[in-house]
Amino acid sequence: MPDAVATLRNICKTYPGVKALDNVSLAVRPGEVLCLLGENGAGKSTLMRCLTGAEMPDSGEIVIDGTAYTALSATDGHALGIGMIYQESSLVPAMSVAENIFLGHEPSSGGMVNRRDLEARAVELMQRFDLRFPPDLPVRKLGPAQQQLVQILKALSRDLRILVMDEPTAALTQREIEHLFELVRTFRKDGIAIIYISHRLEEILEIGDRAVILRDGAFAAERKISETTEAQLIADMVGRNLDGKVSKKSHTGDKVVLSVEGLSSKGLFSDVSFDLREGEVLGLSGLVGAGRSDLLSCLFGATRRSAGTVRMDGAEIHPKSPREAIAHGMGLVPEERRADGLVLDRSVAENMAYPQLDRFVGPSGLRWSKLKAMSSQISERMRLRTPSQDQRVGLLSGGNQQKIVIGKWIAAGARVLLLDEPTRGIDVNAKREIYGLIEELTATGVSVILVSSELPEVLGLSDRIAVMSAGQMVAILDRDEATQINIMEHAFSRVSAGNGGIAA
Amino acid sequence: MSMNPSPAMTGHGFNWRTFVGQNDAYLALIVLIVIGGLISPEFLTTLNLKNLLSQSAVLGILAAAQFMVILIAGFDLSVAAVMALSSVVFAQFAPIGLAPAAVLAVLSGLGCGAITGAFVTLGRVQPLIATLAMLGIARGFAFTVSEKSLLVDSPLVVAMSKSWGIISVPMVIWLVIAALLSVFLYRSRFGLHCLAIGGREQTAALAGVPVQRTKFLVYVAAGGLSALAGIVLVIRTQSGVPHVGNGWELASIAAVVLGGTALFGGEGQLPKAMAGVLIYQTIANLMNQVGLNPYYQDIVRAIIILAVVGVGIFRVRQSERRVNRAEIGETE
Amino acid sequence: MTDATVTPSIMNPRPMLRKFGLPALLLGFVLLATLLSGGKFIQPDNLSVILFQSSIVGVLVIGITFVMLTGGIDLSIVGIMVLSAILMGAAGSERQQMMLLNDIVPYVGPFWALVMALVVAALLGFLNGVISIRFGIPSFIVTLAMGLMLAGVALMVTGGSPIYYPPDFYEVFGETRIFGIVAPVYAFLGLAVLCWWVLKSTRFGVSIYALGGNPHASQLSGIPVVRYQILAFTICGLVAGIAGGLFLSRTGFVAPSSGGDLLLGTIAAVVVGGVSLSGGKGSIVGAVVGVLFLSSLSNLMNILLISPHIQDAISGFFILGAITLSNRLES
Repeated sequence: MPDAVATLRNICKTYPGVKALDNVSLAVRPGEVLCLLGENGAGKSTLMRCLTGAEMPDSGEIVIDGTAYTALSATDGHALGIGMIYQESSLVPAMSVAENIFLGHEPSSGGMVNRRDLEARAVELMQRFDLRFPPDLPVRKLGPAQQQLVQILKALSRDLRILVMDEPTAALTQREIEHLFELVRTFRKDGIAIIYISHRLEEILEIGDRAVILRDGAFAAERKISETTEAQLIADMVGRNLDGKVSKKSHTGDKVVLSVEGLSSKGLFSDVSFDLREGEVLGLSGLVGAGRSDLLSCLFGATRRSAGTVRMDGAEIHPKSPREAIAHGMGLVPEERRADGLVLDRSVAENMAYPQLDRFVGPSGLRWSKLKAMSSQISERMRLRTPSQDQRVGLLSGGNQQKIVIGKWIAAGARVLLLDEPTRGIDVNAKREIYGLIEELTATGVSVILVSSELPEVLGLSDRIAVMSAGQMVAILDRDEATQINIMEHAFSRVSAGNGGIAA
Repeated sequence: MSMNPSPAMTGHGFNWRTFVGQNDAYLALIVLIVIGGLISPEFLTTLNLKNLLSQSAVLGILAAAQFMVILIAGFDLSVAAVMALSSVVFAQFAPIGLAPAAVLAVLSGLGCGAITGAFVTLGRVQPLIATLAMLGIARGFAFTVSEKSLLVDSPLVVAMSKSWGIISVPMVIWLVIAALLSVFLYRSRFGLHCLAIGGREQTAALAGVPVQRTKFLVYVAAGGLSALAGIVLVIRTQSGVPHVGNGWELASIAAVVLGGTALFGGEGQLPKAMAGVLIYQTIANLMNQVGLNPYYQDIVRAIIILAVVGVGIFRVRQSERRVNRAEIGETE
Repeated sequence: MTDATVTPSIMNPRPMLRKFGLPALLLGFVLLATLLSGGKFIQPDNLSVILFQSSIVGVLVIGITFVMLTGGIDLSIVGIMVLSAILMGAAGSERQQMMLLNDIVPYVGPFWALVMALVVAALLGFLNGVISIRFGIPSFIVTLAMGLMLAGVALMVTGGSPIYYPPDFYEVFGETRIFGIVAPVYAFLGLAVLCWWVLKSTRFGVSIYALGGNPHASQLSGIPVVRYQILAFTICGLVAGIAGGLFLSRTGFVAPSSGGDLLLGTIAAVVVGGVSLSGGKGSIVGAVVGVLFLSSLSNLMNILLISPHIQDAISGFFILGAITLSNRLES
C-alpha cells in the first residue's frame, strides 16, 4: 500500500458558539477514493477547507510529503497540488468559462494575458472530457450542472495530487453523474488521491474505496467499502448515543388547532393538506429540497402563498408577514439559527423579547426589569447556561443559542411551534434537553411541526409523520406504521433516480 | 439533458436583442446625439462639440479612476479632491518647469491613493469612509498649497489650449488614457483579478489571487488617474483651483453606472463607462442648450442618477430571480 | 457551567482595552491638550466654546446615528439642514421676503415657517427611506442624489440669494445664556438625552438595534423591519431640520452653499464615536463623545494656530487612524 500523500492530525476548529472539529485525524493515499461521510454539520466541509487552505485550524497539523504544516494558505494549497470542488459555487458569475478555469494562474507573459491562448487552453482541457462550452461564455449563463463541470475543470487545470469533491453530484443528472464517475476512475488510475464527500450512500458504495465517518465534529468510524453495507454506514452516521430512547408520550388532544388545505407556493410546493391537533407533534420528513422548510416559512407568512387555505381554531387566517403569524400564536425556529434566528450582537434578554416587545412598554418607556425577569425565568426553564441575561448571544454555544430561539416563542406564548432542524449542529446533551422540552411543551397543549433530516429523531418524537417529495405531501403515516424504510420510500417516490437530495 | 450548452444559449447567429444589450450605452449615446441635433440647432456645431468633448475629458479621466474602484466593489469619493490637489500642485510648480510640476502632481495623487489603499486593505476601513476621509485630507492639502486659484501662463500650456476643429488636447489625452487603460484591463492578469475580486472576493482569494495587493494597487492607480485629471484641468482652464470639482465624485459614479458598470462591482467595460461620461455630459450640455434653469439641472441630474441605479438594481434582481427559477426547475 | 463560553477578562487584554480604551484615550487627550495649550484648553470659557461649536454637528450626528444603526447612511443630511434653515428664514421673515429673487415661498410668520421647515425636513427623510428601502437602492446613492437635488431646490427657492434676515427669534435664541452656556447647547444636549432614551427605552429603539444587527432574523421575530427603517430615515430628516434652526441661531445667515464642510465632520464624528457603518452597533453616547472629541481636537488646533486647511487634513488622518484602531480592537 502506498504511503499517504496527505495526513491530517488532531485537527481542532472552533467557531464562536460551535465546536466544528474535535481532534480529527485522517490520511489519504494516492490512487484511492476516500469517502467522507456524516450528517449536516458533522464537520466534513470544514475539515476539507483546512486541508485546502481555505480555513485555518485552531490546532493540529497537516502533513504533506513528510512536511508538517500548522496551517496552509490557499496559495500553499495550490502549490502542493491540492484542489477542491466546493459545494457552493466557487465561480465568478460574470466572468467567462476560460477566465474562471484559469483564475489565479492565468497563462501570461509579463503580466499580460493572451485571450486566444487562454481560450485555446480551456478548449483543450474541455476536449479531454468531451465538453464543448464556448470558452468566452459568461459562467452565469450556464445551468447549475454545467457550472459544476466548470468547477471540476477549474480544479483540474492545475497539477493535482489531491482532489477534494464536496457534494459534486448535488446538481447533476444521472447521466452526468455517470460521466463524472468515469472521470473519477481515470483520476484514480493516474494516482490522484480523491476525497469524496457525499450524502448519497449508493454513490459512495459505487465509487469509494474507503469511508471515514464523522459525527458531531469528531471521528466516528472507518470502513472499507468492499466490506460494508449501506445499513452499516447509516448506523455509523446517525448512531449517536441516544440509547435508543428518543421516544415520547403522545399528548395529542382532540381539538384541531391548525388545518391546512391545498396550500401551494409557486415553484416551491403545491397542494399540501393536513391537520394539526392540540399537543401533537407532526414530523415532516423528506429529502432536502422537497419543500419542507418552504412549507414552514409559508405557514409563518415569510413567503407568499399562491393558493390554499389555512385555518386556526376553525377560523381562516392569511398571515402576510411573520408579524401577523406571531399574532395568531405561531413561532418559527428557522433552520439557520445564526443567520435567521438570532441577532448575535445583542443580549440574551433582548433576543428573548423581540416577538413581544409591546408587552414590556410602560408609561415611562421599556421596563427592562420586567423584561429581564421574563428572560431569566425562561432561561431557568430552558436550563440555559449563560453568565447573565446581558450576555451577547453570539458568545454562547450552539445548543444554548438554540434554546434562546425556542425560548423566545415559549415566552411569547406560541401555540403552534414550527421547528426546522432544531437539533442540527448542537451537542448531544443539548439535543436531549430540547427533546425533553418538546415533550414538556406538548404536554401543555402546544402543537409542533417538526422538520428534521434525522430519521430517528422524527420517528422518536412525532405522533404522526408527513412525508414530502418534490414539493408535494405524499403520505401522512401514523407513528406505529412509520419506519425508516417506508419513510424513505415515500420521500423518493416523486424523485427520478439520481436526482434526489440527502437521504435523511 | 446534454452537458454541453444548447446553441441558443451560446448565441451564434445575429440576435437583435443581444446586440442592443451589449451595446446599450453606445446606442443610447447615438440616440441622445440625434435628439440633441433635432431639438437644438446649436448642438451639432463644431464649437459646441469641441466644448462638450473637452469638458468630458476631465470627468472622463476621473470616471476611469472611479471605474477601476467600482470594478473591485468599492467607491472612491476622493477622486475630485485629489484632482483639485493635483491641479494646484501642478500650477504651483509650473514656473519651475512643466515636467517636474507634472511629476509632482502625479506623485501627490499616487500618494493619496496609496494612503487610501493602505487604510482600506491593512486597516480594513470601509472604502466609503476611507475615501471620504481622503476627500478631507486632499482638499486640506489643496488649500494649503494655495488658498486661491493659481493662473498658469506658461506658453506651452497656453499653446495646448488651442483646438483643431472638435479636437482638443484634453480630449486627446483622455482618449489615449482611456484606450491604453481599456486594453490593459482587458488583457492583463491584473484586470482579470479586478473582475474576480469585484465578482466574488472569496473565490478570488481561494484561487490564489493576491486580493489585498490588487485592491491596494487599484486605489493607487485611481489616485494617479485623478491627478492626471487635475493636470488636464489646468491645460483646459490654465489655472489650478483648490475648490474645483465639488460634486464630481457623484458625477463620476453616475457616469460609470450610466455606462453599464455594475454598481457593486465585478462587471463592466471601460469603453462603455467612457460612453457613460459622454451621455452624462451630453445631457448637461442639452439642458444648457434648451435653456433649462440651472437650478433645475441638478434636480434633473439627481433623478437621472436614481433612475439609472434603480433600473440597474432591478435588472440584477430579475436575473437573480431567473437563476433561482432555473435551479428549482432542475431539482423538480 | 461547562457550556457557557466566557473568557475571564483578566486573561485577555482586548475586552479591557475595549472597555477602558476610549476613556483612557480621552483622558490622555485632555491632559495633552491642556499641556500643549498652556492650560488654555481646560478653561471653563474654552470648554463652553467647544460645546457651542459642537452643537450643530452634534445634532446632525444624533440624526444620522438612527439611520446608521439600521445599516444605512444619510449623505443628504446637510442638504436637508440647509433647505430647512432657508425655509425658516424665507417664509418666516417679512424683511427677507422682499430680498428673495423668487416668490416660490410665501410669508407665513416665524412660527409656521418653523413648523413647515420641520415637516419638510421630516418628509425629505421619509422620502429617502422609502426610495432606499422600498426600491432597494443603496441609501448612500439615494441620499447623495437627494443632496444634489436639494442643492438645486435651495437655489430655486431663494433664487440664489442668501438668507440674511431670519426672524429675530433665532438670534435671541442663539444668544440666550443659562449658567453662562448658550441655549443651542441645551437644545443639543436635550435632544441627545431624548434620543438616548428613545434608543434605550422604546420598542422602536430596541428593534432598531435588532434589525441593524440582523434584518432577516428580526423580520422572522415579528419586528416591523421596513416600517422602522423608514422611520429612522424620517427621524434623521426631522433632526436635520432642527439642526437647520440651530444653524440660523448661530450664524444668523444661511446660503444654498452653506454647511459644505459639515457632512464630513458629521460622518467622521459618528464613526469615531463607534457607530458601525454596517449597522446594529453604536450608541448616542458614543456618537456625542465622538463629536466632542473632534471639536476639542479642532479647538486645540485653533489654539495652537494651525491653519484650518491643515486641520482638515489632520482630522482626516485622525479619523482613518481611529477607525483602524477600533477595527483592530474588535477583530
